[in-house]
Amino acid sequence: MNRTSLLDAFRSPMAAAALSFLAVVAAISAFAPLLAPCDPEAVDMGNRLAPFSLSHPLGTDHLGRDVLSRLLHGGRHTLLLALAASAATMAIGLALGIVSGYFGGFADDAIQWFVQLFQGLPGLSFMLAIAGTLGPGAASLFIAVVITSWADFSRIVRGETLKLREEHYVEAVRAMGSGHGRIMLRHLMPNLLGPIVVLFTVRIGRTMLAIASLSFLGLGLQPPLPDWGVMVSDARTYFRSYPHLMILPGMCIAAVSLAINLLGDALRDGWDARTERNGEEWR
Amino acid sequence: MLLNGWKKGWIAMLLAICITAAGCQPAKEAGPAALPEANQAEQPQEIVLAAPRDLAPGPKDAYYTSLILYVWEPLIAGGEDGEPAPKLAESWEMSEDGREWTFKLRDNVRFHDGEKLTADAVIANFARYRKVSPKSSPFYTLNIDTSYPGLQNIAKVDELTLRLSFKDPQPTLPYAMANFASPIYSPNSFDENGDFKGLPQGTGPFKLIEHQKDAFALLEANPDYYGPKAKTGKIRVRVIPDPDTRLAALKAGEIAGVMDLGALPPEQARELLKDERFGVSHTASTISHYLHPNGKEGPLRDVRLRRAVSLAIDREMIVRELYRGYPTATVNILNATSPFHKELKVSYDPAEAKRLAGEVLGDKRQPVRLIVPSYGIDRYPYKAQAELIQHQLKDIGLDVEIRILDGAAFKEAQAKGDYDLALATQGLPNAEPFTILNQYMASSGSANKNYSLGYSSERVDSLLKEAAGLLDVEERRRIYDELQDIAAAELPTIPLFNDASLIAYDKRIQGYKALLYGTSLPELEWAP
Amino acid sequence: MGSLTRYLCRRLLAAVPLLVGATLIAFLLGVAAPGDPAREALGMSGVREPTEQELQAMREQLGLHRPLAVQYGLWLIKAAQGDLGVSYITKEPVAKELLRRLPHTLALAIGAVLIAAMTGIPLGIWMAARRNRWEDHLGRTVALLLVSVPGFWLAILFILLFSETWGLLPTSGFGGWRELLMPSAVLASGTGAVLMRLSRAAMLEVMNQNYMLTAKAKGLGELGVLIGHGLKNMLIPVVTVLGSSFGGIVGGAVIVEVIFAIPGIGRYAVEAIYRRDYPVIQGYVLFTSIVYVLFNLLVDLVYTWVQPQIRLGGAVR
Repeated sequence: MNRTSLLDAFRSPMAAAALSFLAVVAAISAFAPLLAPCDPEAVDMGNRLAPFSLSHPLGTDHLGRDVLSRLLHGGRHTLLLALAASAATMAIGLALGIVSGYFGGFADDAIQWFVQLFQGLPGLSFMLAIAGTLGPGAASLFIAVVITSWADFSRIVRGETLKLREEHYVEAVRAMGSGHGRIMLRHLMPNLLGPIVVLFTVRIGRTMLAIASLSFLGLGLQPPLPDWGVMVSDARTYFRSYPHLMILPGMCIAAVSLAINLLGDALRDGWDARTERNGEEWR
Repeated sequence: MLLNGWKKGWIAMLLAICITAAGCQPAKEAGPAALPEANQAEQPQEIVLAAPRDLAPGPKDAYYTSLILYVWEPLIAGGEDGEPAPKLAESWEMSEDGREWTFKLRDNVRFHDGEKLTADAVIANFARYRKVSPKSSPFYTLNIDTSYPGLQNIAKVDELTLRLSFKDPQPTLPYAMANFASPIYSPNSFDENGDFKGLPQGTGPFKLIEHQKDAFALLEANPDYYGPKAKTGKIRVRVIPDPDTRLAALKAGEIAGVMDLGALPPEQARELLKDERFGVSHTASTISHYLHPNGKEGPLRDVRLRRAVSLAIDREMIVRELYRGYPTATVNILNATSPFHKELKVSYDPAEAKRLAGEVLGDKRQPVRLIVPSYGIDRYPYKAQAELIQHQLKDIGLDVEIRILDGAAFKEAQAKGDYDLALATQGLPNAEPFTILNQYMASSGSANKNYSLGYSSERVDSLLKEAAGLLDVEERRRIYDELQDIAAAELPTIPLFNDASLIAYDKRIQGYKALLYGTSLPELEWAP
Repeated sequence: MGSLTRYLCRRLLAAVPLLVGATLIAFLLGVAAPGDPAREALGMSGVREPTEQELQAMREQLGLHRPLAVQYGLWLIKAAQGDLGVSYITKEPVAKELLRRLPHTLALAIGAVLIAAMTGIPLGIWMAARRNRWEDHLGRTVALLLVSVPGFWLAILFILLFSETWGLLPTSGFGGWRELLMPSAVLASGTGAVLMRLSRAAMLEVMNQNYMLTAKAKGLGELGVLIGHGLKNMLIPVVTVLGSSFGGIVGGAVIVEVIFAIPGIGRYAVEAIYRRDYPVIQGYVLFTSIVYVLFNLLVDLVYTWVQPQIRLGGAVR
């Protein structure tokens, strides 16, 4: 029953537009090597900061590299990293949240203690510290994002699990002798899908921004990777005379983020519609 | 009543916020002093400058303020030509055997707290050096054992004369003593641990009258200064760490100029000069940029590959494009501001580089790790520079992987030899080349060891030993010439270019120039 | 009020293991990180790099030679007495430095929360009033846009517009509301967007119910009633969001503090991280954890005051 109402959400024109936009972005990122006119890492000092032209439709950057090609390639690493990190966060948060909410008691207290611990850690600073410890690069970004985000996730999952646990059908299934694991997997998880998916989309958006911020501080993805966040950071020195170097990649980040958030929003509306129909309080 | 609950809640929240807000009022109104429209000659107007870091670390620091704030003065200053220049010490003399140095102090000099400069005061300062050495500071490490090695005795000869006695001859002492190695403060201004009690009492043309850590330092002209008085009554130096914000502050008229290392990235200078309201001043700097090779292990152990790398890098292009032409390309390990510097021809020869690399690598491509310190990313266009070097070394068969590391991780990677190439800077500590040549080229040299340069040469070791004992300048120059030639040929490290000190100012002020060390603060004043 | 004080004590006591855990993590992270604090502490010396003996001496001076458990244990004991130790680099007492900078970060957080509340909530109410018309869609898109844009991008843009081009606001520093305005606005953008959504939804809910009839019967102004009930409905979620946002800002205002030259604890912590200044890093984590705990407590207390039927310590419904 949930699946159909979730899909209903896509009927909204905004959501449909967002989804198709994201599909296009994903396709471009995947096929960037084929689509890009030039090698995004090809340095050409004789042609620095060139204006728009036929051979370089969006001009060149401070090292003579083609801006269009770099933009096309720019989403790949960030998107992949954001997706992977969010998926991992979701997995951990889901697992711990369900266990915590379902079993209650000691397991709940123990897990919640950890949740509170990690929630209280200062976000960006911790990511910096982790990047410093593990050395910069994609791997440490991944770990940093997961460590600082799983707690929020699991807390919400736990809240939802608590609600669902009281539902009658769970009691009924227990009475029929189903094991805990089965209940959690078969009955609880599907019902959690709604808020989870919403959170997941929000998480991807926030992760993208976090990666951009770390790149801004110099400890994110390493050069010469063409990455939107890195491009914004690089272009800072030049943006008064060549504003497009900073505006274009910034817009790309914002556009993808926006689409993701729109999608999440539409899904949440769908979910809220379902819960309202069931007469539950708006949470 | 239904309405009670929410009303209570909102009132409570607003109250909580107001109380916390009121309690958290920042103590001082720092208020940016915008530049005035008209020049009011009678009132002492405050000129506001900005620096990327706090130039007054405070009472626990070795110096309290940086030299460039002109609050304290050394016995001997570094002159614009690199030679030692008299400051609080008017003249000095070396004994026949080089083991004794006699200093005559300037007369009629008073510290900011009114005390007179005497030999006793200076001896008290030396006692302080002994007590605190080595004491770190963001500017320099105060260490009596490095600047005054083997100092055995300090004796007062008369009220304004003192004598230093050393175990071994110290022919180059004035060079080693210049600037940060001989700061003199009023003996009443520091306690028995060597920490400052309150604000620093130096002898400089400016007094530090107010200071808020990481926010600003307020200087006031010293009316009793023995030399030319400062032309402006008050100068406030604000801390603005972000280079772009500094630029914005300049353009918005909030600050009249910038100072300190890395105050103005070269690209911003170009941007700034497009606006007629601003001017830029530059001069040669004591800082040089190097590409350190890991000579202990890895492919760069082979001198042919090091030569190939040196020939493959187009220094002129880096200087011209990334640094806007302000620095000077060099292949000399010694910075050009030293009077012992020897002109060596800079060559860029990609064909020869390829040939040499081919000799070492054959047909295979070699992966190479280039590490970059993160402090360089803000201050210099290091990222672009690294990417450029990566591009240039590709042609000779080297596949460069760039890693940006924060300061501590960078130093550790260097110490452990966990790299192949490293971008780094080196400031010339004093104009006498012995220190720097020794640290980099002697087999036991500390830079050699700490940066894993792995360089060792018997000839060099013996030359350095010889130079250490020589009292005659010309003989030392001969040895230094040979050492510079050897360094250029054997490349213990790969020099790139000599940097330039670059500062910017609003044309509503005048007299603001970049100096070898710092800026001409005392000559700063409003333009008519 | 006996139960209240008991509740407070229980909560604060429960917070202690949290603080220990957080600082332990910070300690372990610091220790695991490459780089030697002794080397950092010996600072820049021109050319002369520290010798092995000097490094050893500094390590001993900093207590780095002791086993890890002992180092942490000693720190913990002193911290319990309020002594957070001394910075490896500047030798200044950590507690004093943090306390000196905390007000700036707090001012930022408060400013951000105020701006978010004062713009987000009225806008949300207005959007509810104009439901599904173009204003609603526009507001929704703007809200989402604010959440999608990286903070430093906004900051740079703001400085360019408001300081350079129009000369309305100072670029940086602190000391008055004008300096705080831009950085707080940047920090408020995310929370403001969330509050817009929240208040809109809460208002809509209220509008769907039948308060209207009752109120009209009593003769109250339609608008006043609407808004009144809407505010009541949204109080709890708004307080939750503001509370967690406050904590988030205190821990995450780093980039804003750097760009706007605000000497707050975020900037202090980042510099400490770069230089492996363990005592500062641990002290910073302790401070932010305490702020987080206190704020959670405050939020919970507001809940109970507003809706006494929620029993202390029980689950919310």
